[in-house]
Amino acid sequence: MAMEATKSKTSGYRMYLITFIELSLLTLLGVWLTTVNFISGLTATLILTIAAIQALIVLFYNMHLKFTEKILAIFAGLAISLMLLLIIVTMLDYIYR
Amino acid sequence: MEQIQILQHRDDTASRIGMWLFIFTEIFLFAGLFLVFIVYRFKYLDGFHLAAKELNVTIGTINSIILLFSGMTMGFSFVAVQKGNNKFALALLILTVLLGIIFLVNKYFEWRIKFQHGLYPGSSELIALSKGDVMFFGLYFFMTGLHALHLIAGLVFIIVVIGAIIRKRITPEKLALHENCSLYWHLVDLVWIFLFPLFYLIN
Amino acid sequence: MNNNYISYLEYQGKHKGILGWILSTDHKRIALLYLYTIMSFFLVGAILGLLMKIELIAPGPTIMGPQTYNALFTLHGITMIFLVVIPGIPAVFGNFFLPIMIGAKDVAFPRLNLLSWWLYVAGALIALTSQFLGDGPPDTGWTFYAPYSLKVPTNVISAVFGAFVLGFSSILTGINFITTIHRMRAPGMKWMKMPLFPWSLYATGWIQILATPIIGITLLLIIAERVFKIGFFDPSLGGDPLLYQHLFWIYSHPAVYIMILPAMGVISEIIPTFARKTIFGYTAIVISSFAIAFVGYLVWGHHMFAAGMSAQALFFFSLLTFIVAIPSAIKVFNWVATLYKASIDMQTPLYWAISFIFVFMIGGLSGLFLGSIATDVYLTDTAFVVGHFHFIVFGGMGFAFMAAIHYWFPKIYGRMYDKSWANTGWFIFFLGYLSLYLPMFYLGMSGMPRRTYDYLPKYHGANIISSLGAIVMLFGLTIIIINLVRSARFGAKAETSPWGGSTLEWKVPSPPPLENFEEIPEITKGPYEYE
Repeated sequence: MAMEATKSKTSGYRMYLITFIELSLLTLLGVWLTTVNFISGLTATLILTIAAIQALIVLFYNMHLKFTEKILAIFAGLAISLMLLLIIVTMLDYIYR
Repeated sequence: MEQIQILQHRDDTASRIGMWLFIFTEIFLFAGLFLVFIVYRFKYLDGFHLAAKELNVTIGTINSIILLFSGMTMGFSFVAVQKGNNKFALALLILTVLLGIIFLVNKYFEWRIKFQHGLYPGSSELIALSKGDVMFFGLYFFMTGLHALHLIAGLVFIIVVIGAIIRKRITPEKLALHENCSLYWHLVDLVWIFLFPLFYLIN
Repeated sequence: MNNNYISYLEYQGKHKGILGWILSTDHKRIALLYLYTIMSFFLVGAILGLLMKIELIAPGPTIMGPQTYNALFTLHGITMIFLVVIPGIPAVFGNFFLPIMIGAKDVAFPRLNLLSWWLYVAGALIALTSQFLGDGPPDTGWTFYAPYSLKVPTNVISAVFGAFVLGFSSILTGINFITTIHRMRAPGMKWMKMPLFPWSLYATGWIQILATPIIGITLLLIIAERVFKIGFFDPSLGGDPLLYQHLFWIYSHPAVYIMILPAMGVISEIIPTFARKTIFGYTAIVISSFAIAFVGYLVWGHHMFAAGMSAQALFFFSLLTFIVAIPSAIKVFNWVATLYKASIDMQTPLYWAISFIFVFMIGGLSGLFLGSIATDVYLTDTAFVVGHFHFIVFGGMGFAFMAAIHYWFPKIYGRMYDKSWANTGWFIFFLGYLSLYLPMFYLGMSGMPRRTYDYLPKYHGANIISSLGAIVMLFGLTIIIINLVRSARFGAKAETSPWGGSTLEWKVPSPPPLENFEEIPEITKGPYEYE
């Protein structure tokens, strides 16, 4: 069923090659950023944004979320949102102590 | 056995759902550690900046690329099995395992340098440094250590898949085990995608 | 309903005798494995509780000193929380009835199901070794607070590692149930035609999956602290003991919803059956289950009001605690509305279900005093809290478990228990229970601290009432258990549908055959259509 969908869209080695190149370039971009900007808050934000983009590429392409049952992507989104919410709520304690 | 009567047909979607739910548990396991990291980075920002200078960005970057490359070879192996190229798939999986081992070897050297400098949890040198240093290195060893354990588990999983391909338990019609292994390996990569910048880059 | 079929109890597969049970992947046999192990640990926990109440019947040392008392309440908590109330209803009744109620032959991953039980046994045994190893049983409380748990020489690591293994059992059960519900509902059983007990197991499964790993990592961190001196919770090394509490309660609060959501699911099954009327507000109950599961993730700080959090955190957690009470209250309204103007059939399961509503409400209302910070500062760490959580957890999950066993017993064993003894047992148990736990509210408000073996003479009278209540309650429990154990072997044969229930489990024989259904049914109606 969904295996056919996965097959047709990813039945190329190409997709994995492209994601590897994208992810590597993003990694190198992140490393380069540490050498340039000295507005430390901004650098950290940018670097973590790059990491988030890399994560999305891995989740949607390498881990097939784009090609498989949609409910799985919804689950992943909800789970990650919950995780972020727990971190934010905990920081409510630490930021304001 | 009664189980054969009940499971009349395999359900690949069920297998995929089960694997993803398991992946969520792994994400939340590391989430707890990311929370500890965020709390102590907030508390000891300067300490973290200083401590992070001990880490070698070059080795870290090389390890990142190695892991990303192994993710590609893993994905390739999945395509190869779909196309029936079992020999190619096996070669790719063995390459993936080798890349994983190289990652671990690099990590071993990184850890060794820290141990030689006395920068490990419980050492008298570390306790003499700032509290930020103690927290940073505690997190460094625990998180990269837990990641390494998961990587080793991934290698074991890959070896199981290699055996299954050889014994024709994995075929273009029966891909669930291989796909699940691939998902797990990408998860290991996903965790590193965040570990690397947090420890090596955001300073 | 033909009588010449082989029930799951008699089925002989690849393995014979006891191996045919402990190596079985049949969800019904696994459910019974859980039932017997969980009940055994419940009795252990109950005896520990009884010993504590005997100690507390008079001030000063009565039958033990403080170290023993601390070890007892630690083990009582670990046993009851991790071995009884968290697995309880999902492991026993979820395993037995989820597949049948959705028209399936088994769960999605039967072998994983068996592994869950084995992990449960392994975790229990590992935790129990903490009682016997060289350094003495742990005395930290089941909450293992830092920095005490990091430094004390008692056997913390084995207890904590046992809990870690038990977590996997819970996670695998959650994964199994969620996948089963997504993939194995019978044709025609759309989501909104599914009965409410499976719905409650679905919401619970998400908590099992997304919350349990956090306690997993927290327990590993305790071990890392004790073995490697990693320092995350040790102030002398720069750590924050409060961070331990955050991590611990981020799981342990959602854990109480793992306990109560399936319990509420059971009540939602029983009430329509004995009201002979469809449940009032099916959709509201479904939505409230998810509201409870979600909001339940955001209230954990209410266990830490006196610990030293920021004012903003205090405000947030108190507010969310009040909010989470609302969906629970909605369920109570729905149950009561179902009973209103219904054709009520007073049977044992309904006695338990109605008394559940009574004690659960007391537990919930007492929680409001703890959720409000101004009153909590006086009540925290007193007997009031002990009363609150025994009403909501024991009263909630415990009474629902009793309701469930008395409801589904004829289906599980194909025999009926003696109803007069069951009702008598319920009554004595209920009176003893109220006598045991109600005084704790008074004691707490008067200032008696919790987790201490001694108290001021002015608390003596209420403590006598409480301790005597424990004895009465356990007497009632004995009647109940003897009745059930006897009837499983010698009770009168039960029909397919002795209560007139409408859900799918009442359409299959009592006890069910191995694969539950000869043919997977086609569903056309909703779950509670009585007219």
